[in-house]
Amino acid sequence: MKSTSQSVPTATSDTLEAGARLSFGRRIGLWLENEAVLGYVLMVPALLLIVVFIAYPFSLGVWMSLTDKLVGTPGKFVGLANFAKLLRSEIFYQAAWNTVVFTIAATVIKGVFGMWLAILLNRKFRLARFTRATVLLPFIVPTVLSGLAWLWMFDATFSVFNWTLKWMWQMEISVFGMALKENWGYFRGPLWLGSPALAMFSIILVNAWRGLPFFAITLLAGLQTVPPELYDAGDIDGTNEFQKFWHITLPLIKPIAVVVTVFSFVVTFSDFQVVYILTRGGPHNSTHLLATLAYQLGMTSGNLGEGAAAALFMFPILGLVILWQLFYLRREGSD
Amino acid sequence: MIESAVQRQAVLQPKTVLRIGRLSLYLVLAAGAAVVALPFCWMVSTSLMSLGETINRQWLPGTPRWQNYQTAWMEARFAVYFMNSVIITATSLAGLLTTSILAAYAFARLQFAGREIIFFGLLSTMMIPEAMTLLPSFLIIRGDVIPLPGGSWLNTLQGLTVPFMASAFSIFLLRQFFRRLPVELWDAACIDGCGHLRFLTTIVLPLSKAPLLTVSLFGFIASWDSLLWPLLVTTRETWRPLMVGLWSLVTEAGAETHLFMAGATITLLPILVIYFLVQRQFTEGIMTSGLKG
Repeated sequence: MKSTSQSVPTATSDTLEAGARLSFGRRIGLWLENEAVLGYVLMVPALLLIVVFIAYPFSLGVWMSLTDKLVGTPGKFVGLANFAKLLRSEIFYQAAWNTVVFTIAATVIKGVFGMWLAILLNRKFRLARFTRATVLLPFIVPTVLSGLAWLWMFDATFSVFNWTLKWMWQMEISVFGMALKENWGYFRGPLWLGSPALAMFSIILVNAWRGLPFFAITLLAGLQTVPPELYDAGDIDGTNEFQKFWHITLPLIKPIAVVVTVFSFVVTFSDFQVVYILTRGGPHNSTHLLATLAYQLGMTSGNLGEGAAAALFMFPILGLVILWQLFYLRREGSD
Repeated sequence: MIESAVQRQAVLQPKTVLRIGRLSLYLVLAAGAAVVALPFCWMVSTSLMSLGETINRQWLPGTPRWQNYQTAWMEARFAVYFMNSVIITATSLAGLLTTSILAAYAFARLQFAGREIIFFGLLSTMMIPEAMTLLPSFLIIRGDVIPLPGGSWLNTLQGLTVPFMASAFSIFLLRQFFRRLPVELWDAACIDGCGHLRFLTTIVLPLSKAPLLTVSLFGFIASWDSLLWPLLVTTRETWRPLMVGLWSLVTEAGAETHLFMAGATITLLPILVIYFLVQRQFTEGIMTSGLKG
């Protein structure tokens, strides 16, 4: 690598000398024929933007987490005080725990049902292509829009879910073997977003609803690479459907399943919009995640330093997961 | 392959069992489609209700009120916002495609010192949570941190588009695809005296329709759907996009659900149309170039 980096300047100066008598445009053209120079030139626009609008803001955020900056004040260096303060606050532990529950539950739901959906979609049936396109819809639609639609469906007093339950109550239709009329003289229906456990359930449901299609389509791609002869061989050996799935399908689609699971984990872990639209972290912080806590501290309360510190707590886990994935990809790629 | 599967099953099982299996597949898929479609159906249905009907929360309006769409369009100045959104999305998309194609080509086909390390660094920016970069980016756009050409970028087209003109994910996706094109193509082009840039524009790009469409659709969605950033950087109405208009419809006219839903349907329609036009290449793009190593 060292030799290449040394050869770059000599090569360019050579071509520059040779092109001294040529026109400016021609000289640029010659210069760009050097592969290394061209490589750097092509990279520059993207890298510049990413450095200015992602990497630099990130380091600015790291710096802010070490200061007591409020909106409109310069802030002074306070060391790790913001982190210490967070570690002493109850809400931080609650948000961290919620993030763990939310991420694991949503990822598991997406994985299991995504796999199931992918297997269904892999069969040939009428309108298969149309169904695949439709299944991806929740992933395409703006989170803000679908989030607001869900919000109205979950609404405490006017929820269409509860409206339907009420209708069933009036009709005395039993749900799960339990006649609703027996339990409530006056029908109210559950507070979907108003009670801690149900609110957590609701945000997990919406997140899974949104992320599942991507899971299913990606896994479907994996399923289509499985040679059908293997299943025929399985038939000869008299395996049942589950054994075929466990011993043939799963090992073959493992690489793509790992990648999509990690990808989904990262997105779910830093998800913010679903919670922000549905509950804003309530009731009683029962649905606060690290991302929403960071937003609330930093943007809503204007305490930029603390907000940045809260966001930074997400970083080690995200970093570890992505590093692991990169090494995994490299290992698989070399096989 | 499918025929053989059907024959196989037909040999093993009586026909009725097969038919029941098929029927249950359709039933499960129909139920799944209903779950997926539920919020959308409800959205469209609500957009046609009267105010009274939305308060009583029904599934269907008595008589559809199409004039809701006109009212929402007028009230939220959607005509202006719609054009803004179109311009903003087109600009960011053009920038995104240009930078991603060039960088992906460099990472995939060119040899230069430090390539792997830079690529690795680029990928690692994907793990930076958005909640963390939002505010510093805002300070940068306002011109507080580094001097920007033309002063503060608040309320300008460049403020709304330039930060989104590069994405590590797009570069990654395209690079994966470019890398898999056969080397012989380049060898042949080389013999014909074709330079890298001409090779890229005349041979690589036409072969990469599926991943390019995938990147475009991701970029389109990201730009068309973004709300937080435009809310931060548009203090005046000049460049406000559709999502912000819609948001103000929620916050200012909170009770008028039917108008909001009409506005939401208007916002959603372009995405749906474009999606169904390119959906085949899109699913293909995710499936082939997608996330595989």
